[in-house]
Amino acid sequence: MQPEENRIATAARPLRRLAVILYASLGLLLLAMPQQIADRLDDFEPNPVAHAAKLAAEAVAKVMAPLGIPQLFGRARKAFLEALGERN
Amino acid sequence: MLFPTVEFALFFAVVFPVAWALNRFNTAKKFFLTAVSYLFYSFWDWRFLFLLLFSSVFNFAFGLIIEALKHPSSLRAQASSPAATASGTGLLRSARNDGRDGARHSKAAITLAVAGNLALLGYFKYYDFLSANLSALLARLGVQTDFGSTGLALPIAISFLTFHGLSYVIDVYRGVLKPSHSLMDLMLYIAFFPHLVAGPIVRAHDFLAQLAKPSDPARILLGQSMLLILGGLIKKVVIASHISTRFVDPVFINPPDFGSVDLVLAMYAYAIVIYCDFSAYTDIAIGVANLLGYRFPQNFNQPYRALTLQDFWRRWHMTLSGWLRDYLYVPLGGNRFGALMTYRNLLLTMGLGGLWHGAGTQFIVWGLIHGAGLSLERLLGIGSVAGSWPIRALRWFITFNIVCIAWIFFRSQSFDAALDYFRAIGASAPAPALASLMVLTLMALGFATQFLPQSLFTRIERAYEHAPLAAQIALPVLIIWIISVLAPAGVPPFIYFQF
Repeated sequence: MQPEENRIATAARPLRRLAVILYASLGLLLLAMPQQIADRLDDFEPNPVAHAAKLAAEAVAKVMAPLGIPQLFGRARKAFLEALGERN
Repeated sequence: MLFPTVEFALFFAVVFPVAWALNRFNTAKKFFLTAVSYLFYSFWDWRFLFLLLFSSVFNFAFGLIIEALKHPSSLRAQASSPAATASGTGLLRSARNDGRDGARHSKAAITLAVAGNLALLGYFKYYDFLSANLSALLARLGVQTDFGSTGLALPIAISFLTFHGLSYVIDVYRGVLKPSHSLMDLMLYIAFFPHLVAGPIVRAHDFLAQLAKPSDPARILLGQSMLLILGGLIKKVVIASHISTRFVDPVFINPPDFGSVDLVLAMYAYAIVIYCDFSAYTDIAIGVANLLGYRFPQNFNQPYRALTLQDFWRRWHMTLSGWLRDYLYVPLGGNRFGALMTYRNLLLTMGLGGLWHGAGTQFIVWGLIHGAGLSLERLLGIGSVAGSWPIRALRWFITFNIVCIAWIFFRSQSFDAALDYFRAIGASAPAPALASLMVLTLMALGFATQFLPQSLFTRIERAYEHAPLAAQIALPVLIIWIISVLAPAGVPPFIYFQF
């Protein structure tokens, strides 16, 4: 292994940490507001990837609903819009 | 595809691991990033991909031609390059015949290259404007003409890709940069998706040097990138979008419907909107590029705390003001030929800088106000930011208000609409302000960002870098969750997309 490659290989740790932060954040956001993400995916031009992602988000929404976590987002959003005198 | 959307999150979630997986195979990584940058651009209009490609090939070819003409001894090696042969045979042959004419020929080549870049920008961005104004001028002289219009939508990012192209060929001509022998490197430099649409304007020598070897993950500034991205999302989605849709847009659409207090407040509100909107885009761009292993220059540095207009332009859209200085103001003569020529150069530079923002008289006037202000500062010798605090406070007040008044021209649909706005301020009664408490709070928040000490940002960055992994994950989740709760129904596009 060349010195440059070696140095980059040993510096890979922050990259792994960054990857964990990135995907864990995306995953937690999906768990916290799955319906919101499914609704946003409706804005895509129809395509198989968006369709599959929407189905996945809706499936997560069904699983998470009994835990009450996604509803927290809905309640907070509703309270914010009511404070502004608007409906969603 | 906008940065603060689910689409972009999905896009980046795919790009990030693939780009780093390919990092040891630098050519493959660059090929991948070029391909996804073209994909990113195609989300607006795939037909303009040809424009992007043409700009890259054109500037790549002229980079080689200029270098070859400057150094005829290297011609044989250069001539074997297929791209050089295909696009520059005539000029290459000319230089081969007479190497002593290298300087003259390379000057002709850079003139052609600059003209080509400007012609592309001129056709798409300014043809309709010039055509309409010329027809109107001739009509006043009794000559009825119609130069027609292109009938084309303005290709998104055309101004920024032109700046990048010009930066490259001019730097090669000046000898600041060796021409790239990799068309893919130049394609990536011009099209790299974080800066493609609205900057920051990255200098070719800075970026091409970074492409020469694999990115070093140790150079990722995790704290800074996160702060830039999350801060950018707050500035754009929460502050700029709400103030814009709830207050600034309605006021600027129909000024006579509002009282003078609202009209003046909307002027200040727009100053916050354009700062939060534009700096958000470039902050996110800088953060995203850094997560992929590349460094972009800083583009904003709390511009509304500036004490002079010169100070303002050292803090506002810093990569544009640097570009205008190096490629326009200095070549025009800068401050080397006396006071009058300096004022002329400042007016020309800022006027053209204004025109770059949009094909409209109001943009030229916006630029000229800044040019005149900069000239006046030189004339009065008040360019310094030193002084006692009352003097500094007075300078800040004057500078801030000149900048805000100039923004009225920038925001208005036309020069006449800007004048109507000023007339409405003078004519309308000081009716009770309609700006809501929320708008005023967001304005105060946006304004407060200008006066927070830099050390606070540094401390936040360090604290994030040294935080436990769970906290590093929780913070972006919590902030994005809150942003989503507070977001307006639809996030409007970034203001600078139109430029």
